[in-house]
Amino acid sequence: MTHSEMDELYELYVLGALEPEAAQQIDRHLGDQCDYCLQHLRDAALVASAMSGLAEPVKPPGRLRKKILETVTPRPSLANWKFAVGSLLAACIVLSAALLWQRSTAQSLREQVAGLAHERDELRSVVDVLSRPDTKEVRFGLADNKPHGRVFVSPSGGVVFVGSNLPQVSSDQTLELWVIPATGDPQPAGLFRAGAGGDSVHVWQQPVNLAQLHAVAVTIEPERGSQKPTTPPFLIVPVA
Amino acid sequence: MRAGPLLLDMRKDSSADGELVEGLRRRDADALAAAYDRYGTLAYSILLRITRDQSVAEDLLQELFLRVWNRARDFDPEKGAFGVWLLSIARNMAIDHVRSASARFQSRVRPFAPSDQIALSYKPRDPESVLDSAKAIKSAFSGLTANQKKVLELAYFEGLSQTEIAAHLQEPLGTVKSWMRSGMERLRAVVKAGASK
Repeated sequence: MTHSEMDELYELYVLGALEPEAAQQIDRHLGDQCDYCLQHLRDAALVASAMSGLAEPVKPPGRLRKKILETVTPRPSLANWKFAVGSLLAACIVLSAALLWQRSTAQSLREQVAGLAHERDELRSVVDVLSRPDTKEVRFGLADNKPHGRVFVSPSGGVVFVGSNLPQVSSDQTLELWVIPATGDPQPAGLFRAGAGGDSVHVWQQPVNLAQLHAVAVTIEPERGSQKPTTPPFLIVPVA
Repeated sequence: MRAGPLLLDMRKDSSADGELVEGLRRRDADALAAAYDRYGTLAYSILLRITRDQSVAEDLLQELFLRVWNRARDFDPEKGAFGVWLLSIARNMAIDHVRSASARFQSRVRPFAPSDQIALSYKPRDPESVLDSAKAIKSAFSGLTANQKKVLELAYFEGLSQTEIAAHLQEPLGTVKSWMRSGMERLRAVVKAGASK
């Protein structure tokens, strides 16, 4: 196909309306860094975007503007988060110590200590990720009746998922976090459940390549989790 | 909620898009407010038209501007046509949404749609071009034939390919291609004329 034949096709290419064979020809030119095609595609992108003017103009509800801006205005800083989690850690230890005091059997004590140690380690992991200077924070979900919360991503520390209003799952199911790279399949990033109020904090301590990270997602999986998602995600949080 | 002569009311001062993007890159909430004021209604109109669901359109609009906020640092104001980029993302998000849940999941895994990539590298000839071109296209569109309008709307709002449109309309593929090319040629001409002013 010659360039003059392609002249009529660039907008359709941008819109994704072109037949695969024709699209592949343009792909090949782009792969070869064809200046002619690049320039015409840039022009075509403008035409395609301008077609948005064909939609009947409707103003969004006024509350949306406020809601969106509230999500990006200064919030309690990371330091406050660290303080809150630190306080939670301390309270957890005190509470658990009090509970331990009341237990009389050695077995019970061992179980409590093990549980406490696990919780302590997890909270320390959370604090560790939140404390890192390279940690990126992304808020998600703005509607009160939908899952909402924050995702913290540290290239060196991993991912902390803090969610509210998460779905309750049956005893043979679990929630599973997925790390979605820019290319390739979603990677499993740990299993967790929501508490009675739908709240949960989940930490996944693996190095993350932020440049390659596209999103994190949560699905409902069988109790032992899955290596690939078996259900559509009920939550996708773009991180890139 | 109808906006009335929205496009005519839009501020022409979109030459400030570069400053706006700079503000977003600095994490300045006022810049996001300005972006919303400039493109929010147009983006919402696309989202609503494609999803035909007010609640979904509202959710996607919020997601769109959060995405803009979070990805602004990837955007080069020297190269970027902010409006082209934002409106391309809005359309892709809405079309993704109306597809099946599993297909939507897969499509979101893609780093960018082709139009996103192009928009990110697009250097506008005229910084006001997106809003002005949207107005010009709306006007030119009214002069197209019914068939030209139909095929272009199916491509833009439904995300259908030429083959899918031919099947949908039960028309020969060659006829559909002809309608699309002739209709698009008219739209291209008005945008080009506007850019060269």
